[in-house]
Amino acid sequence: MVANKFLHLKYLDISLADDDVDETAFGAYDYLSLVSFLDASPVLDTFILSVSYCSYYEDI
Amino acid sequence: MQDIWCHIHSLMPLRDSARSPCVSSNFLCSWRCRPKLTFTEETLGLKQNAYRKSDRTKKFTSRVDHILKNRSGVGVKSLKIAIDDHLNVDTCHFNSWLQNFITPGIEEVILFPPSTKNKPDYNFPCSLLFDGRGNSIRYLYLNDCAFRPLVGFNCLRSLTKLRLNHVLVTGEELECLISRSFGLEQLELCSCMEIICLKIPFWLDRLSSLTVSSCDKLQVIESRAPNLSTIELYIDPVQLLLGESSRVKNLDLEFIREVNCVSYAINKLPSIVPHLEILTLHSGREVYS
Repeated sequence: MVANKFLHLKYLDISLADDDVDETAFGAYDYLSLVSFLDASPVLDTFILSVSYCSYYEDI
Repeated sequence: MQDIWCHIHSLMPLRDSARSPCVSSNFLCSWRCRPKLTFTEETLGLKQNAYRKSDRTKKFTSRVDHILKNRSGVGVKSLKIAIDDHLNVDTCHFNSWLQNFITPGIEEVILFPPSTKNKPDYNFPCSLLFDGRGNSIRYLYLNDCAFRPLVGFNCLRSLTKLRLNHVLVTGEELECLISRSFGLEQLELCSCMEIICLKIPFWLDRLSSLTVSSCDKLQVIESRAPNLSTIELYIDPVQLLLGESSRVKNLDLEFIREVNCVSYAINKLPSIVPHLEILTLHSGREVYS
Protein backbone atom coordinates (compact mmCIF):
# COMPACT_ATOMS: atom_id res chain seq x y z
CA MET A 1 0.00 0.00 0.00
CA VAL A 2 2.69 2.46 1.03
CA ALA A 3 4.58 1.96 -2.25
CA ASN A 4 1.59 3.33 -4.15
CA LYS A 5 1.39 6.61 -2.28
CA PHE A 6 3.31 9.85 -2.10
CA LEU A 7 3.12 10.02 1.68
CA HIS A 8 5.14 13.25 1.93
CA LEU A 9 4.14 15.07 -1.23
CA LYS A 10 3.17 18.66 -0.48
CA TYR A 11 3.53 20.39 -3.82
CA LEU A 12 2.49 19.05 -7.21
CA ASP A 13 2.84 21.01 -10.41
CA ILE A 14 1.73 19.36 -13.66
CA SER A 15 1.96 21.14 -16.96
CA LEU A 16 0.42 19.59 -20.04
CA ALA A 17 1.56 21.33 -23.18
CA ASP A 18 2.22 20.05 -26.64
CA ASP A 19 5.09 21.76 -28.41
CA ASP A 20 3.70 21.22 -31.88
CA VAL A 21 0.29 21.61 -33.40
CA ASP A 22 -0.83 18.12 -32.52
CA GLU A 23 -4.49 17.72 -31.77
CA THR A 24 -3.95 14.13 -30.64
CA ALA A 25 -1.47 14.97 -27.86
CA PHE A 26 -4.16 15.27 -25.20
CA GLY A 27 -7.20 14.70 -27.38
CA ALA A 28 -8.17 11.47 -25.66
CA TYR A 29 -6.73 12.33 -22.27
CA ASP A 30 -8.98 11.86 -19.30
CA TYR A 31 -8.10 14.81 -17.10
CA LEU A 32 -10.11 13.37 -14.28
CA SER A 33 -7.55 10.56 -14.06
CA LEU A 34 -5.33 13.11 -12.32
CA VAL A 35 -7.53 12.57 -9.28
CA SER A 36 -5.43 9.46 -8.64
CA PHE A 37 -2.57 11.84 -7.72
CA LEU A 38 -4.79 13.50 -5.13
CA ASP A 39 -5.82 10.13 -3.75
CA ALA A 40 -2.18 9.09 -3.50
CA SER A 41 -1.03 12.29 -1.78
CA PRO A 42 -2.58 12.60 1.69
CA VAL A 43 -0.60 15.70 2.79
CA LEU A 44 -0.72 17.63 -0.50
CA ASP A 45 -1.26 21.34 0.07
CA THR A 46 -0.58 22.79 -3.40
CA PHE A 47 -1.77 21.41 -6.71
CA ILE A 48 -1.10 23.35 -9.89
CA LEU A 49 -2.37 22.12 -13.24
CA SER A 50 -1.35 24.07 -16.32
CA VAL A 51 -2.89 23.18 -19.64
CA SER A 52 -1.89 25.10 -22.71
CA TYR A 53 -3.48 24.63 -26.04
CA CYS A 54 -3.00 25.88 -29.55
CA SER A 55 -5.07 28.68 -31.02
CA TYR A 56 -6.12 25.94 -33.44
CA TYR A 57 -8.73 24.95 -30.95
CA GLU A 58 -10.21 28.35 -30.38
CA ASP A 59 -12.41 28.17 -33.44
CA ILE A 60 -13.86 24.84 -32.52
CA MET B 1 44.93 50.56 -0.90
CA GLN B 2 46.23 48.24 -3.61
CA ASP B 3 43.79 45.59 -2.44
CA ILE B 4 40.91 48.02 -2.95
CA TRP B 5 42.09 48.85 -6.47
CA CYS B 6 42.41 45.15 -7.23
CA HIS B 7 38.90 44.57 -5.97
CA ILE B 8 37.52 47.42 -8.08
CA HIS B 9 39.35 46.00 -11.10
CA SER B 10 37.80 42.61 -10.50
CA LEU B 11 34.36 44.24 -10.78
CA MET B 12 35.14 46.13 -13.98
CA PRO B 13 34.59 44.76 -17.49
CA LEU B 14 37.75 43.23 -18.95
CA ARG B 15 38.24 45.96 -21.55
CA ASP B 16 37.90 48.82 -19.05
CA SER B 17 40.26 47.08 -16.69
CA ALA B 18 42.82 46.61 -19.48
CA ARG B 19 42.54 50.26 -20.56
CA SER B 20 42.89 51.70 -17.07
CA PRO B 21 46.74 51.68 -17.03
CA CYS B 22 46.54 54.39 -19.70
CA VAL B 23 45.22 56.69 -16.97
CA SER B 24 47.68 55.78 -14.26
CA SER B 25 50.62 53.38 -14.16
CA ASN B 26 49.42 52.38 -10.69
CA PHE B 27 46.56 50.57 -12.38
CA LEU B 28 48.94 48.37 -14.31
CA CYS B 29 49.56 46.23 -11.25
CA SER B 30 45.82 45.98 -10.55
CA TRP B 31 45.22 44.88 -14.12
CA ARG B 32 47.99 42.33 -13.94
CA CYS B 33 46.63 40.74 -10.79
CA ARG B 34 43.01 40.81 -11.96
CA PRO B 35 41.56 37.52 -10.70
CA LYS B 36 38.78 37.15 -13.24
CA LEU B 37 39.53 36.70 -16.93
CA THR B 38 36.70 36.30 -19.43
CA PHE B 39 37.69 35.90 -23.04
CA THR B 40 34.77 36.11 -25.43
CA GLU B 41 34.34 38.03 -28.66
CA GLU B 42 32.38 40.59 -26.70
CA THR B 43 34.90 41.15 -23.90
CA LEU B 44 37.72 41.32 -26.45
CA GLY B 45 35.87 44.02 -28.34
CA LEU B 46 35.13 42.00 -31.47
CA LYS B 47 31.35 42.08 -31.43
CA GLN B 48 30.62 45.61 -32.44
CA ASN B 49 33.45 45.89 -34.93
CA ALA B 50 32.93 44.84 -38.49
CA TYR B 51 35.85 42.42 -38.81
CA ARG B 52 35.70 39.75 -41.43
CA LYS B 53 35.39 36.23 -40.08
CA SER B 54 38.95 35.26 -40.89
CA ASP B 55 40.18 38.42 -39.19
CA ARG B 56 38.09 37.73 -36.12
CA THR B 57 40.04 34.54 -35.39
CA LYS B 58 43.34 36.41 -35.76
CA LYS B 59 42.15 39.27 -33.57
CA PHE B 60 40.79 36.93 -30.90
CA THR B 61 44.04 34.97 -30.81
CA SER B 62 46.34 37.97 -30.84
CA ARG B 63 44.44 39.77 -28.09
CA VAL B 64 44.51 36.79 -25.73
CA ASP B 65 48.18 36.24 -26.57
CA HIS B 66 48.88 39.89 -25.86
CA ILE B 67 47.18 39.71 -22.46
CA LEU B 68 49.09 36.55 -21.67
CA LYS B 69 52.36 38.23 -22.62
CA ASN B 70 51.67 41.12 -20.27
CA ARG B 71 50.66 39.09 -17.27
CA SER B 72 51.25 35.55 -16.11
CA GLY B 73 48.46 33.19 -15.22
CA VAL B 74 49.36 33.43 -11.56
CA GLY B 75 46.55 34.84 -9.44
CA VAL B 76 43.74 33.95 -11.83
CA LYS B 77 40.74 32.75 -9.82
CA SER B 78 38.18 32.61 -12.58
CA LEU B 79 38.77 31.80 -16.23
CA LYS B 80 36.19 31.76 -18.99
CA ILE B 81 37.13 31.22 -22.62
CA ALA B 82 34.32 30.99 -25.14
CA ILE B 83 35.29 30.33 -28.75
CA ASP B 84 32.26 30.77 -30.99
CA ASP B 85 31.68 28.15 -33.68
CA HIS B 86 32.59 30.50 -36.53
CA LEU B 87 36.06 31.13 -35.12
CA ASN B 88 38.80 28.82 -36.24
CA VAL B 89 41.13 28.99 -33.27
CA ASP B 90 43.84 26.37 -33.33
CA THR B 91 43.45 23.83 -30.51
CA CYS B 92 47.19 23.87 -29.74
CA HIS B 93 46.89 27.60 -29.24
CA PHE B 94 43.85 27.10 -27.03
CA ASN B 95 45.73 24.51 -24.98
CA SER B 96 48.64 26.87 -24.50
CA TRP B 97 46.27 29.46 -23.01
CA LEU B 98 44.89 26.85 -20.63
CA GLN B 99 48.40 25.74 -19.76
CA ASN B 100 49.22 29.29 -18.71
CA PHE B 101 46.01 30.32 -17.01
CA ILE B 102 45.08 27.15 -15.13
CA THR B 103 47.46 27.49 -12.23
CA PRO B 104 47.26 26.44 -8.56
CA GLY B 105 44.67 28.64 -6.84
CA ILE B 106 42.22 28.87 -9.73
CA GLU B 107 38.65 28.29 -8.57
CA GLU B 108 36.42 28.58 -11.61
CA VAL B 109 36.97 27.30 -15.16
CA ILE B 110 34.37 27.74 -17.91
CA LEU B 111 35.34 26.57 -21.38
CA PHE B 112 33.69 26.63 -24.77
CA PRO B 113 36.56 25.18 -26.83
CA PRO B 114 37.04 25.51 -30.58
CA SER B 115 34.77 23.15 -32.48
CA THR B 116 34.20 22.30 -36.12
CA LYS B 117 30.77 21.72 -37.57
CA ASN B 118 29.33 21.28 -34.09
CA LYS B 119 31.20 18.03 -33.70
CA PRO B 120 32.93 17.88 -30.36
CA ASP B 121 36.37 16.95 -31.56
CA TYR B 122 38.39 18.88 -29.02
CA ASN B 123 40.03 16.62 -26.51
CA PHE B 124 40.42 18.31 -23.13
CA PRO B 125 43.90 17.35 -21.88
CA CYS B 126 43.55 15.98 -18.34
CA SER B 127 47.24 16.79 -17.86
CA LEU B 128 46.23 20.47 -17.54
CA LEU B 129 44.85 19.57 -14.14
CA PHE B 130 47.88 17.64 -12.91
CA ASP B 131 50.43 18.82 -10.35
CA GLY B 132 47.85 20.45 -8.10
CA ARG B 133 46.61 22.83 -10.78
CA GLY B 134 43.09 21.39 -10.71
CA ASN B 135 42.81 20.85 -7.00
CA SER B 136 41.61 24.37 -6.21
CA ILE B 137 38.88 24.34 -8.87
CA ARG B 138 35.45 24.61 -7.28
CA TYR B 139 33.36 25.10 -10.42
CA LEU B 140 34.13 23.37 -13.72
CA TYR B 141 31.91 23.90 -16.76
CA LEU B 142 33.02 22.14 -19.92
CA ASN B 143 31.31 22.30 -23.31
CA ASP B 144 31.77 20.53 -26.64
CA CYS B 145 34.76 18.33 -25.97
CA ALA B 146 35.95 14.86 -25.04
CA PHE B 147 37.10 14.42 -21.47
CA ARG B 148 38.83 11.15 -20.67
CA PRO B 149 40.00 10.92 -17.06
CA LEU B 150 41.71 7.63 -16.24
CA VAL B 151 41.29 5.36 -13.24
CA GLY B 152 42.95 6.97 -10.23
CA PHE B 153 42.22 10.52 -11.46
CA ASN B 154 42.49 12.71 -8.40
CA CYS B 155 42.88 16.24 -9.67
CA LEU B 156 39.63 17.97 -8.71
CA ARG B 157 39.57 17.62 -4.96
CA SER B 158 37.85 20.96 -4.24
CA LEU B 159 35.15 20.61 -6.86
CA THR B 160 31.69 21.64 -5.66
CA LYS B 161 29.92 22.13 -8.97
CA LEU B 162 30.43 20.25 -12.22
CA ARG B 163 28.60 20.98 -15.48
CA LEU B 164 29.24 18.99 -18.64
CA ASN B 165 27.48 19.98 -21.85
CA HIS B 166 28.00 18.03 -25.08
CA VAL B 167 30.95 16.26 -23.51
CA LEU B 168 32.11 12.85 -24.67
CA VAL B 169 32.69 10.97 -21.44
CA THR B 170 31.61 7.45 -20.52
CA GLY B 171 29.89 6.54 -17.28
CA GLU B 172 33.09 4.90 -16.02
CA GLU B 173 35.18 7.96 -16.88
CA LEU B 174 32.70 10.24 -15.15
CA GLU B 175 32.89 8.02 -12.08
CA CYS B 176 36.69 8.38 -12.12
CA LEU B 177 36.24 12.13 -12.46
CA ILE B 178 33.92 12.66 -9.50
CA SER B 179 34.83 9.83 -7.16
CA ARG B 180 37.59 11.85 -5.43
CA SER B 181 35.66 15.12 -5.44
CA PHE B 182 34.35 14.65 -1.93
CA GLY B 183 32.87 18.16 -1.72
CA LEU B 184 30.77 17.88 -4.87
CA GLU B 185 27.38 19.53 -4.34
CA GLN B 186 25.92 19.92 -7.83
CA LEU B 187 26.25 17.73 -10.90
CA GLU B 188 24.74 18.75 -14.23
CA LEU B 189 24.98 16.67 -17.39
CA CYS B 190 23.56 17.75 -20.72
CA SER B 191 23.86 15.89 -24.03
CA CYS B 192 26.61 13.59 -22.81
CA MET B 193 25.90 10.92 -25.38
CA GLU B 194 28.34 8.25 -24.22
CA ILE B 195 26.93 7.78 -20.75
CA ILE B 196 24.87 4.60 -20.47
CA CYS B 197 25.06 4.06 -16.73
CA LEU B 198 25.56 6.93 -14.30
CA LYS B 199 26.83 5.77 -10.93
CA ILE B 200 27.25 8.12 -8.00
CA PRO B 201 29.12 6.66 -5.02
CA PHE B 202 27.85 6.88 -1.44
CA TRP B 203 30.79 8.89 -0.18
CA LEU B 204 29.72 11.97 -2.14
CA ASP B 205 27.72 12.97 0.90
CA ARG B 206 27.52 16.67 0.01
CA LEU B 207 25.90 16.08 -3.33
CA SER B 208 22.44 17.62 -3.16
CA SER B 209 21.51 18.37 -6.76
CA LEU B 210 21.57 16.28 -9.93
CA THR B 211 20.40 17.50 -13.34
CA VAL B 212 20.45 15.27 -16.40
CA SER B 213 19.13 16.37 -19.77
CA SER B 214 19.21 15.00 -23.31
CA CYS B 215 21.64 12.17 -22.55
CA ASP B 216 20.09 9.87 -25.13
CA LYS B 217 22.04 6.69 -24.38
CA LEU B 218 21.45 6.80 -20.65
CA GLN B 219 19.69 3.72 -19.28
CA VAL B 220 20.48 3.67 -15.57
CA ILE B 221 21.00 6.29 -12.88
CA GLU B 222 22.27 4.71 -9.70
CA SER B 223 22.92 7.10 -6.85
CA ARG B 224 24.06 6.15 -3.36
CA ALA B 225 24.74 9.77 -2.42
CA PRO B 226 22.96 10.01 0.93
CA ASN B 227 21.98 13.68 0.79
CA LEU B 228 20.85 13.95 -2.79
CA SER B 229 17.64 15.94 -2.42
CA THR B 230 16.91 17.50 -5.83
CA ILE B 231 16.80 15.70 -9.16
CA GLU B 232 15.91 17.25 -12.50
CA LEU B 233 15.51 14.84 -15.41
CA TYR B 234 14.83 15.90 -18.98
CA ILE B 235 15.41 12.54 -20.58
CA ASP B 236 13.42 9.51 -21.56
CA PRO B 237 12.57 7.07 -18.77
CA VAL B 238 15.59 5.34 -17.24
CA GLN B 239 16.04 2.91 -14.43
CA LEU B 240 16.33 5.05 -11.31
CA LEU B 241 18.12 3.30 -8.46
CA LEU B 242 18.26 5.57 -5.45
CA GLY B 243 18.42 3.09 -2.59
CA GLU B 244 16.01 2.64 0.26
CA SER B 245 17.42 5.55 2.22
CA SER B 246 16.87 7.98 -0.64
CA ARG B 247 16.30 11.53 0.58
CA VAL B 248 15.15 12.92 -2.72
CA LYS B 249 12.50 15.52 -1.91
CA ASN B 250 12.30 17.52 -5.08
CA LEU B 251 11.87 16.00 -8.54
CA ASP B 252 11.39 17.74 -11.88
CA LEU B 253 10.59 15.39 -14.73
CA GLU B 254 10.09 15.70 -18.46
CA PHE B 255 10.44 13.06 -21.16
CA ILE B 256 12.21 13.99 -24.37
CA ARG B 257 10.63 11.55 -26.82
CA GLU B 258 8.54 9.16 -24.82
CA VAL B 259 4.93 9.90 -23.95
CA ASN B 260 2.92 9.42 -20.73
CA CYS B 261 5.16 11.23 -18.27
CA VAL B 262 2.22 11.80 -15.94
CA SER B 263 1.16 8.16 -16.04
CA TYR B 264 4.74 7.09 -15.37
CA ALA B 265 4.90 9.39 -12.37
CA ILE B 266 1.79 8.07 -10.67
CA ASN B 267 2.65 4.44 -11.33
CA LYS B 268 6.40 4.30 -10.75
CA LEU B 269 7.58 7.19 -8.63
CA PRO B 270 5.99 6.40 -5.23
CA SER B 271 8.26 3.38 -4.80
CA ILE B 272 11.38 5.03 -6.33
CA VAL B 273 11.23 8.35 -4.42
CA PRO B 274 9.16 7.62 -1.31
CA HIS B 275 10.13 10.85 0.47
CA LEU B 276 9.16 13.17 -2.35
CA GLU B 277 7.76 16.54 -1.22
CA ILE B 278 7.81 18.57 -4.43
CA LEU B 279 7.00 17.08 -7.84
CA THR B 280 6.98 19.01 -11.10
CA LEU B 281 5.91 17.24 -14.29
CA HIS B 282 6.00 18.48 -17.86
CA SER B 283 4.19 16.33 -20.37
CA GLY B 284 3.86 16.89 -24.08
CA ARG B 285 1.58 13.95 -24.72
CA GLU B 286 -0.47 11.49 -22.71
CA VAL B 287 -1.77 8.46 -24.53
CA TYR B 288 -3.44 5.44 -23.01
CA SER B 289 -2.80 2.18 -24.73
